[in-house]
Amino acid sequence: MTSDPEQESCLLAVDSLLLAVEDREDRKRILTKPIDMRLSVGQIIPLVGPSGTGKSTLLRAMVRFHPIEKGRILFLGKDIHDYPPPFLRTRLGLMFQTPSFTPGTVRQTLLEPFAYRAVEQDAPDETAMVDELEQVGLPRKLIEEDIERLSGGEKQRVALARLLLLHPQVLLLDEPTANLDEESAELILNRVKDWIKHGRHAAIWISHTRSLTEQIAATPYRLEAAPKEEKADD
Amino acid sequence: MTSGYTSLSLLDVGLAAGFVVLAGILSLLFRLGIVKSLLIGAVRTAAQLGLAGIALKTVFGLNQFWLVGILALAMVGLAGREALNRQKIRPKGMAIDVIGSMAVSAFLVSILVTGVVVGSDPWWRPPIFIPLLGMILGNSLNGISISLERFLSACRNDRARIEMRLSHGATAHESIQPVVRESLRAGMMPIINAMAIVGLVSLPGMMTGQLLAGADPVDAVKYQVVVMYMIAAATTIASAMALLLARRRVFTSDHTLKPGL
Repeated sequence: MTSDPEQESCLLAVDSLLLAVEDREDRKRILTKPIDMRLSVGQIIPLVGPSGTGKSTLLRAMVRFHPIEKGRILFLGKDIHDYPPPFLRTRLGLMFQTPSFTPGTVRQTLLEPFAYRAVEQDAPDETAMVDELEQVGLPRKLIEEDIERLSGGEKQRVALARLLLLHPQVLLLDEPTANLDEESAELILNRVKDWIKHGRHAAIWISHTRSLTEQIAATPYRLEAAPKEEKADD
Repeated sequence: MTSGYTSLSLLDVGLAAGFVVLAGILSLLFRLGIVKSLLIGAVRTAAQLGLAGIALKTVFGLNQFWLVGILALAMVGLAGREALNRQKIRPKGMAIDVIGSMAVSAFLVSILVTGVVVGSDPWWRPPIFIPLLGMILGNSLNGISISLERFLSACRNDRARIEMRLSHGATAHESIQPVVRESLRAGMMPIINAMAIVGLVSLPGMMTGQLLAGADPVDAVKYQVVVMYMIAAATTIASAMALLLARRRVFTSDHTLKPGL
């Protein structure tokens, strides 16, 4: 096999991508200048830019929650539209700013995704779950706890543990630490950085604050607003 | 009809209108400001039921299959429209889903009941088929309305949770399964509760009507039991069908919840 090593290590590639949202009158508004981006193994890219430029929309487009206006996104060299969406989403783990849970215990929370057909792996055993919880600084006894009784920071850490147990290849993090206490935020950042080091992993992390961006990685990717449409002379 | 049947004259009905006048005087005394609504309601009761009576008398008298068919379809259409009117959120195409599920469940159950259980010949004999169909539609209308209302508002309010499941690799169906289950349960609750208390607190309207018309209580009871079972079946079938059809309306082919629900 004679494959380009650079292409080998590229997990996600975004080519001349345009994203649009529809306003109330069903008119499309282009959000950004064309996006070109490469995410390679071991990389963690902070995604920055003014609000309304579609940072969240870009992550959502990567897992096909949002349609693509123009251009394309490749995962492992293949267009994301060539994967069934459920399978694609087990490979690209999207983490929301506010986590959601089906009511139940932490154990049930961690096991829930393994009932889906697209999740081909066996459900993790108790050791694997406890281990994952401890890696985000949560005590093992928490596994019996009702998820709704946890604090915001603990919930978000459970959400990260749940995502990592699915063994995704890429993490797409939509400001996961925006509303959290410092300790939880740090535990999440450290866990993600550690996860990147082990295995062929990478991540994109939407960040609003400069200090967090600097902690994540040296070079952020900046989204820029699309130029305002010029008014027709009439 | 048995001997105990007492026919009412128009004068008797007119006397009963005195009760409405009494209610009107009371609401005037207490300044409820609803005398007008009360009067309109009373007039509508007489007019609508009068029209229904004329329609039924005609249909019963002519005893024609096509006429029964037209009336039945009109009833299904009206019930479907009412179920839709009760929805705040209406995805495109839902009217067909609702009317379709009502038609399938109501016709299926009412034909089985008149043809097999009651054994009327022909199965569409108007005095049996039309009232049974009416009862089925009235109740499944309730079931569908509650189920869909629950389902569609969950699609809006529980969006984050549904997207969470999708983001973990759930298919559209897997992601919304708990919502479908919960909605169907809600739609079935009224009839389940009704079956639990029937005869204890009050006698159902149909049975009361039969007793007033002089029917044997045992016969009336048998009919009422059949009717309850029939309503339970029709409500469940109609709500389940409407939910399964509505489920397709809220997702795109990308296994994503449609925006703007």
